[in-house]
Amino acid sequence: MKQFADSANATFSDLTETATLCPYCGVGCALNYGSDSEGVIHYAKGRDGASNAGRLCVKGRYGFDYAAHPQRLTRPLIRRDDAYPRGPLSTFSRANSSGPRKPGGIVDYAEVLPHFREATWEEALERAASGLAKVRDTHGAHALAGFGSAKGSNEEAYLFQKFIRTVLGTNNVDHCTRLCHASSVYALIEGIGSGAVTNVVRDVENAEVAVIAGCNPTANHPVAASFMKQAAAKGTGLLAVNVRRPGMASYCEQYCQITPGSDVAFYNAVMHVIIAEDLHDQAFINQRTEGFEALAKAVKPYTPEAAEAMTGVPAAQITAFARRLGQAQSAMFFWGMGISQHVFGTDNARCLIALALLTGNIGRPGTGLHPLRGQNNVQGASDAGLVPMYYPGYQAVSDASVRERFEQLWNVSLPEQPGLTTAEITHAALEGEIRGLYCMGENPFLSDPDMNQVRKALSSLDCLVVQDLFITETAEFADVILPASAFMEKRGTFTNTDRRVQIGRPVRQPPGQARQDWHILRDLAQRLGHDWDYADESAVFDEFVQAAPLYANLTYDRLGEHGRWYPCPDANSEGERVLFGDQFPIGRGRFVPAELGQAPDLPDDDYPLVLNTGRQLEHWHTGVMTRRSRALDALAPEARVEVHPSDAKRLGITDGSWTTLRSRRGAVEVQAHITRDVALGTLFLPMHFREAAANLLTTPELDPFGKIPQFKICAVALAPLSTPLTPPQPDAVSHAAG
Amino acid sequence: MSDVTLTIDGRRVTVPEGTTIWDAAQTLGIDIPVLCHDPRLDPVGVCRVCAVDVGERTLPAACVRAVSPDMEVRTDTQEILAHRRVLTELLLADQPAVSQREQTTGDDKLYALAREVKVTDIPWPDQSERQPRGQDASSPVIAVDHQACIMCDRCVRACDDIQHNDVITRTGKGYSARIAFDLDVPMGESSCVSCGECVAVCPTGALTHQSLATTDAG
Amino acid sequence: MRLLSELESIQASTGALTDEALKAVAERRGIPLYQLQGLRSFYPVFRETAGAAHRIQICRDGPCRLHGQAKAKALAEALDDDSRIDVEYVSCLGQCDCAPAVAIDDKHYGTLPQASDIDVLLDRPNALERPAQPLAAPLPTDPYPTQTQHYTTSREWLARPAEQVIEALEASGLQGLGGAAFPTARKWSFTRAAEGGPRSVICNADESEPGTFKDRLLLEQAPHLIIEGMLMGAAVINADTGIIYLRHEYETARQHIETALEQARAQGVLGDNARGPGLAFDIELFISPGGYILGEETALLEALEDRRGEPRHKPPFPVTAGLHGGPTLINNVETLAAVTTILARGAQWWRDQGVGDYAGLKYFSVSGDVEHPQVVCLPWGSPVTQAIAACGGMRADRDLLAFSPGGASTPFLPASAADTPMAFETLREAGSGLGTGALFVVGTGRNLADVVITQARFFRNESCGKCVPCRSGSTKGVAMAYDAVNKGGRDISQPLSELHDTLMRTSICGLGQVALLPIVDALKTFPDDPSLKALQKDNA
Repeated sequence: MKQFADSANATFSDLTETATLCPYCGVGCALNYGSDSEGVIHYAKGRDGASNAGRLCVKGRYGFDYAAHPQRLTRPLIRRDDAYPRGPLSTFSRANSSGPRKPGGIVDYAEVLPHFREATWEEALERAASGLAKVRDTHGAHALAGFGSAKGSNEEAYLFQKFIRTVLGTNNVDHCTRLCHASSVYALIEGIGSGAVTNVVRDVENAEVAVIAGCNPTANHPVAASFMKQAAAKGTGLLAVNVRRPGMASYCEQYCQITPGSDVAFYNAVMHVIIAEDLHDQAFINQRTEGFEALAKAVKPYTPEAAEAMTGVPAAQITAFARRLGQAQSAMFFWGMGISQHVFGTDNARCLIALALLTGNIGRPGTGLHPLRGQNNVQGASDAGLVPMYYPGYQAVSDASVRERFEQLWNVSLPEQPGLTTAEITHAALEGEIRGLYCMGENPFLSDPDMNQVRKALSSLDCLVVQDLFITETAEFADVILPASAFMEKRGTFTNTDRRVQIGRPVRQPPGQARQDWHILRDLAQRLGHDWDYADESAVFDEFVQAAPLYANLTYDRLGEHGRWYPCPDANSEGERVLFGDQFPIGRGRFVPAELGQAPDLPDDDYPLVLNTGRQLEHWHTGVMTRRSRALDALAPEARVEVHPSDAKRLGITDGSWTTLRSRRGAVEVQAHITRDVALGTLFLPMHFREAAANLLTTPELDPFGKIPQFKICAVALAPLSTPLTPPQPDAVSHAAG
Repeated sequence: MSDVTLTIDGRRVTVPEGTTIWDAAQTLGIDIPVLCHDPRLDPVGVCRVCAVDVGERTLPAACVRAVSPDMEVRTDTQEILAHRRVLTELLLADQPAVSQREQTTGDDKLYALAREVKVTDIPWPDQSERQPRGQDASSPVIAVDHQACIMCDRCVRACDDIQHNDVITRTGKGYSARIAFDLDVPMGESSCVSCGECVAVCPTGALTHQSLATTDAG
Repeated sequence: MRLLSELESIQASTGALTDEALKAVAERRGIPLYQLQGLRSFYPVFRETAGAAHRIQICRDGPCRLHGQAKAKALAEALDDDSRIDVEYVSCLGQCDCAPAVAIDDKHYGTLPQASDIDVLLDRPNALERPAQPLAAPLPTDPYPTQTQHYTTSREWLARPAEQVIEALEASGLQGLGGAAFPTARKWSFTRAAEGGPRSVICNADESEPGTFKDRLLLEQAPHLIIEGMLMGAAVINADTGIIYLRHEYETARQHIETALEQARAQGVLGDNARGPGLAFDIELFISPGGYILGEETALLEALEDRRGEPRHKPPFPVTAGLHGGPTLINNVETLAAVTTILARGAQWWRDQGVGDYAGLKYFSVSGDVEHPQVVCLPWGSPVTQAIAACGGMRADRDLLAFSPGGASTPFLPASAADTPMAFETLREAGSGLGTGALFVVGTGRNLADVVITQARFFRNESCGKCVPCRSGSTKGVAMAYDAVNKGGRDISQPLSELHDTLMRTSICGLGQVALLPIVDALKTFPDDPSLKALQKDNA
């Protein structure tokens, strides 16, 4: 007879669980890591956070092992004298390289490391500090710039911008929101006076309809998407508008597939119908807005029929969309890169804001504006002032009284001129105006548009200090590389897309001699004569709160394990889930009309297709972290360009076959994936894979207001790979120790 | 919506109409054992471990049954304890020798139940050799062992009703029923997006995380 | 179109539900693939690949096993290498009068042929042998001598208040004839009082328990009585929708029902004004994709809602929350036919048909060791011996050893109980039950253990798998019984009884509750039977 043989695992009982957060996207899921006494993480378990209710996605669930990857930087590195003049060090990063066709291609340490030597922290910090100081003293403070991280904590972001402003003396500080929602934030501050979301993601359960504009939440905010789908299953009508079919299309009541760049025409037509059929909320417009007349006039020519010609969406569908939206009691607006990453991204966002104001859909549950924030702390980084035109809390650098207040708080005089944004910094470097760059937790070589230009810009610098976990493509150009702490090695606050401020807690120590990012900043500041003295992260946070009234009433004690939303009206409140029920920060909301614009790099006979770039579920940004996660790398080791079946057939391309993808700026070789998710004449390429780097192809033009690049449209040509293909040697990334 | 007053194990309680017996018991601090039920999921009442005596011909599952006025519930009679033990034994009879769940996350709920009802001998035949249920190692992150599956339907509900990824179903019928992905393809070839929710809710070693622990470079 | 009906149509026209076919369905309907896999894998009608050009299905249950276990094995072996034919064993086909029964190509049903007759039968499958059925239209309970009078009863009763219909049924004492014996008048009254919608009338024509084939006769020979009964039900509960849920094996019945429905529509009996001016009622004939469990009323509802046929929890009951959540009247075939008879002839006439205080006429399907297995129509309260006599007595010089009076879920009684009047209360007091009135007769010299284990095996085979006690308990209980028979060594009567108690008390539905009862009860009722003693031999 069988016996019950209890097999409780003795070694298992040695694991401890730490309540912390996921390091990846802006949903900011709360989770527990189960780790052993050596700091090795064995599993992740969902925790009941305000934003995720215990749910996780593949990255949060399985992508935690990058922190323990053997390629972690453990000692400071200094560029060898014979590695000058600086330039790309790996085959991949060089111009006109044939480009590796091998999968799993992250930076090859064997190629790059020999050009650096290990150094003590003393020497490295001295080198970094003196290098930056020399540029300042020779060319002026405005020849310096800093790229801070949207993945670091609020404390790190706060200290970084403080460093750039007070120690280096310039406002040239920015982070990757510039590449993401800069246009959305501009339009929001212009339109309602606040750049953050008005309603949290889960409020979608209260919405009768929800517009899902230019975003693909199942890939980029999976847990948020699960709440949207759940709402749809319970009756919320999801109305999706996207060039490419979103993963949740089967849950959508409507999906309008617009042609690339035609968003303004679409939304103007929707507003046209809403006004023509008297579905707008006149009372709300009268009480809470200004500029309606100008808007109504601007959308008059955008009839559904006219919009059909501009967008490719049948007039009847546009009308149905407008009616559904106009007749709904409550509507929520979600959007993403499909709206923001254009030279007219600000205009696109202006349309969505206008639509919400027009229909009275702000300030109540189940309504509101929600640009889905990408990174785990991009909201916090912006809030902490990691941007050239605002101090912490969106207080304008150009406002003298504000500047005075900060000069008092920080006990230093501050530069008057607002700084340059990310892409402007790259352009300025090419012009020789920016000569020194301090880069913390960013990889502009891969993340910025027009890689060939970025290569030149980085090569032209006098001083580049890179602080990161691994050697990135950007670090190949550095004078000094400082080994820093991963998310699960630090304590700090992080603000997610919902405006939820939560504390992340360390589970392990940084490896070798790698240090906490904020300690490195403090030490650099001290070396440059600034007496920075903070007891711990909590003290930094308290100073940040003092600087930014937006975060009033928040302390580490009050945040505890559950976090709170900001704004937080008093010590006992959990924070405000829904904003602007009475009035906007600027009083009345502003209608800002938009006209249909044109992308700068349009198709012609030589480059007949339109390329869309973006993200996929398994990977994160430039792949520095996720491609070093065993699970994520196994799930998605290679890039694929998505091609419509008819285009594929015409071009002689089959599923999985190798192709050359060329734009006016560069070319990549990549395998094809045939799918109907992309429209005829358009392609999609993910941005994560350096061996098929999307930004070799993209154009550098910027939105004039948000300064965000045109990632979503460029003209390309696609052809089967002409030269015979030798079987690719899988250059598998070793995940084993040593 | 009116309130309902009933008695559970001799103690009176008043709860809103529509409350399940299990939830009502919770308010009294009575934790009726469950396997297929989890408060995050809609109850399905298939494991029958939470069966209680309400004086009817059969014992309803507390997790699905709504309270009714003046209902008298007993959760702990000798008969109920006997059935709970038989149900636990039936499930243990076919389990693999070692619980993969205990090994990876230490929270095998069937084992916890076995300890609670103090199972020692398992007098029911082990079907695992006559009708082995198979394993699926096709996913890089999730290990599937159908032999350990107790068909509690948690993974189905987690995948379909929580994450809405719509991958998992029960397939087949009767004793040979198991879970399947899409049109019954290996998990690694299905539309599964590896969110791991199924692993998180699985009470046994049927769905577990593939080991991902790596050691430091130092 | 119903999803299941669409799948049945694809299955019928292409021979399979391939992955490609299902992907196309998924895309067209916007439903996930897993949903289709769940359906394809649950219902026996569906196949993943088409298989051989022909299919022969051999019944493996009760009466058929008794009469043809060896012959079936011989035929299966003979056809093993025949690439034209797939042979498989299936559960009761409802053709117990043909025992041992087979089906050819899902359309033709009859007695197991010789291997030498196969070539001819593949060419002309309707040459399959079937015994003559003495009862034919008009059936004894059919009030209409000819077709021209069909539906005249409802024309009169539709004009009367619904309460009078209920009163008539109450007076008749009619109880549900699908096994549950719930008083019909009360069910109709409760459903009528239930609030909300949609409102439906369903005829449960899924009789599938071994030995049960009396509904088949009614559906083939008197579908008009059922249609009229449903119409009256619709009038009483204010339903506009009617469904006949028919097991797919009843191919002949299907044809007769379809014809009858067409005629009823042509006459205006069904349609926009069926229940009165502007009060529509029509009936859909839904063919079950298979499985005994679909006869359980809530599993039936699940199928009608395009899900796997897995029973729901009760309460709530279909009376208040049935099809799509609305009040639903579900009645057995024979019950609905009886309603028409009672309204036509009167409650008193109905009462007068029974023996003594018993009321009505009952159709009994008699099978097993009788000379001529068939459906007989006898007065309620007739003794078991009379039913056996009506079938020509015991067969092949056997005496009566045991009988199960009401279907596989009713325990076997010994020959000494053969005088018991056939009615609900009497058979219950005798230690068994009337159930559906499916009388399975076992003669002396038969291996009684094999008979009762086969009954339990049927339930195990047909378990839907949803709940632990039934899914696991029925399998392990039957395994224990076979092990005891084949290997011996352990007295399983105590553990089997303990297991049965758990199944009886904790299973979600009736299948699990009775799955092990045939064995457990027989061990008590037949203590001296040598074949059953083998299960109690402790060789420890």
